[in-house]
Amino acid sequence: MLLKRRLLLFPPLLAGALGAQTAVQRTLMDREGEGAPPATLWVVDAKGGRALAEGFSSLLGASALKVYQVPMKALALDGAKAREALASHGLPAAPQWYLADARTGALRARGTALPPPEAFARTLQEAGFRDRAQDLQAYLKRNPDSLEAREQLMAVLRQRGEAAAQRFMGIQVDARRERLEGGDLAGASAPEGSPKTDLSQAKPMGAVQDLEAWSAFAQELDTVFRSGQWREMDMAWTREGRPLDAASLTLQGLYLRWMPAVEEALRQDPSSESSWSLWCRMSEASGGRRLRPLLDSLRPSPLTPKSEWPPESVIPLLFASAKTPGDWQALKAHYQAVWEDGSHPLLQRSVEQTASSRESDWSGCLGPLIECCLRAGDATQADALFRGAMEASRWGSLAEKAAALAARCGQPALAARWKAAR
Amino acid sequence: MRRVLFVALLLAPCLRAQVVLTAGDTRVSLVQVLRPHPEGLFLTLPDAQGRGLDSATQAALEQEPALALQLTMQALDRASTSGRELAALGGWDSTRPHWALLGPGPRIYAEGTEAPSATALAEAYGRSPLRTRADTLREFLRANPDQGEAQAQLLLQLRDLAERRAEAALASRPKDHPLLGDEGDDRIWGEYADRYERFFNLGIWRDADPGASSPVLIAAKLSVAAEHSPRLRELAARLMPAVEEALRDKPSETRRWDLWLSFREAGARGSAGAVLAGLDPLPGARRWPPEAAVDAFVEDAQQSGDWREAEPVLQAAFDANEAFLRQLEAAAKEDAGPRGGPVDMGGAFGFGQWNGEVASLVEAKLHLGKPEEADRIFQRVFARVPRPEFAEAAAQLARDCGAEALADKWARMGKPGN
Repeated sequence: MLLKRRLLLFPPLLAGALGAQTAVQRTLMDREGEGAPPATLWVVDAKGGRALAEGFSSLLGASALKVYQVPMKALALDGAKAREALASHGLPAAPQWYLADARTGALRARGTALPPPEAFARTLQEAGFRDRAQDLQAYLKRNPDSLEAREQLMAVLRQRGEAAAQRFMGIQVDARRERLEGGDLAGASAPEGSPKTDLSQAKPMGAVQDLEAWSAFAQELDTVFRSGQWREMDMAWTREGRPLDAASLTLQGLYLRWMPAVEEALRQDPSSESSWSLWCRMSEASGGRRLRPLLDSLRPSPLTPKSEWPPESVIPLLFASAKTPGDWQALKAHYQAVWEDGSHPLLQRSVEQTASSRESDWSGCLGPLIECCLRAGDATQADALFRGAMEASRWGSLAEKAAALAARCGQPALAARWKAAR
Repeated sequence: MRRVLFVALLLAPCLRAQVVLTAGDTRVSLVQVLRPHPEGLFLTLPDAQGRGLDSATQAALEQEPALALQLTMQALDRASTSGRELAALGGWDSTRPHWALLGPGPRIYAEGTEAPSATALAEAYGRSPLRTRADTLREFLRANPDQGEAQAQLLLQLRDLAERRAEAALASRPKDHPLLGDEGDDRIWGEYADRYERFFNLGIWRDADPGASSPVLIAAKLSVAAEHSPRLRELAARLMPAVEEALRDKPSETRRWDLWLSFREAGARGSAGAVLAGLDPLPGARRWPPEAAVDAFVEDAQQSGDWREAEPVLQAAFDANEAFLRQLEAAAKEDAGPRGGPVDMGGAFGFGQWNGEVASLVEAKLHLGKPEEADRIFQRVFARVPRPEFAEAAAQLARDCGAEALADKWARMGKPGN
């Protein structure tokens, strides 16, 4: 309804307006997903100590408790935050842990020492924690056609797979949403996983670890591909999941098996964002199928403007995988159409043009177009484009940016000429 | 119905023959004006005194046989870049107004200085090598019959044309016989009905969200004029079980409810309560029936006049929103800290106030003889955002429901000084 639509706009809006992790922002984020944790575990350690926090980290990572996905916040007793938090619950200023209700903030349980796993499992259940996957699996036994239950189960299993894979590989990769919650707006708008994800720096997973991390998720994904339900499911993990897939042979094998099914769906609807999102995730992880042959096999509608084909979501992948002059020619045709379609701040000298509008025109269109020209071997057109924009905009930074680009593309003479044009 | 009309209005600019003034951006070149129209475009240019042929050309394009071309008309400004380029291309002086049919190039295929007739425009187009969007899509689909996106685009073209023809055909029929006759029905809706069924059976309307710019979602809904077509009514009734099955698999998906509503408007039987009967809410679900079903319950109530099923659904939605608003305000207070100023998240962002959903709840209460509850709800939301227009809207609603005393009370609250 109307209210929900408005609320969907809030998180990014408020993240920018109110700064990182405000209470309002948390409230809005919590509302978005069902099955949000019912409470938060707060752990307060003595000054300079981490014993309680580390004890709980290890306790919650144990297989009996990790299914509850308990959010934990660790504080140091000498900090203002800890004092404030303890005072708000009327608790003494001493090392301790407590569970606070996520909605009301009310105290649900507390203690001063690390509890035994069985006792803490009971505490969590009494505080409302459930093994969501188990609940959903039980529901699916009664309602095997429920797509929503399958979507949610897939999300839970994906999350668990990511947590386990990160633990095994000894790395921490932020998801886009986490960057946003942390106030990293630039990072949140960057492509998923970059620049922190470098799986080559991670410990490789053994076959047993790989299976332990991913088998439940892989099995569920295989099930929905076999039943055909995948086409109707919102695979949010393809957009929001951590890009750890390339480190898993289990996932790679699964993706390679089912990519032809996604390609078949793309043949029916070549502009479908959800199908492309899934295909790109699979392709990036498996590296087994190239984009160009797929694009060549698709028949976009004759009404699709050149500037909208290939679809925007595919362009970064196309850029990353372009090798031959033919690949660059195809990309060039796309950017050429984008360049010719609209009006461009870089073709105007109007005082209304701000540096940021020119900046985004450069990075979103003219820069890629010039790069495509250079890599496709058409330096003359690149030069003409540069000179046209330079003459029209008289934008000082343009010469510098274009020169750097030419240098990156192995055109030192052109780079020197463009730099001098400033 | 209101939402369907709204979507139709949103789509209208890209589908219907229209007048688009480009005077707002005088830098747009003729090539840029033509680029989105490979099917061709009618352009007009006024004379030096500003007399143009826009209205006459537009009127001709809205009549048969030109109507079938589904072409757009744009009126150019003589001082604009595109206007100057067109005058130069045609070698026109400014003593007379002009119309012209242009295609990519740019190239003029036909032109005139007098008001054109619909036949003249259709004939001029027929002599040109240009192809309409619908013909281009038909030809493409002959070679690629399972390309669903193109099927959806063609459906939208056919739907638009059929709606315009149906409107004209129904205007001459008595109001108590609002159905098209067999022959007219087949002529107007035949191709749309055939292609819709093929598209429906392809099943891509069930696919995960293809994106906001995809034509698939919009084309999946039946025409708002389907109720006047016996053929489409039969189609809707026949396909409704598949839509309901899809809804039961994913009852929280708004798109599926929208599709279901379009089938219901076309005369297919069904009720929101019956669709959800026997379904279990998901474990941990905060709302049941799901939020996406609220519109359907309201439509059911408005159609049948029976608000008993809709009331608890609307009440739950209202309660959930109020509770969330309280949480949000508490969070905002926390953010503002002890020295923070007044916090009003509802007022600031425009929710928690009088809106369509609250109005439906108030309507339900009034129909079910619960005026005190209706009054309490209105008082609460009006206290939050006391705008006179909200009081007027609520008073009108009360009056429509026969609650005159409440209507007077609410109307007074909207008056200055109260």
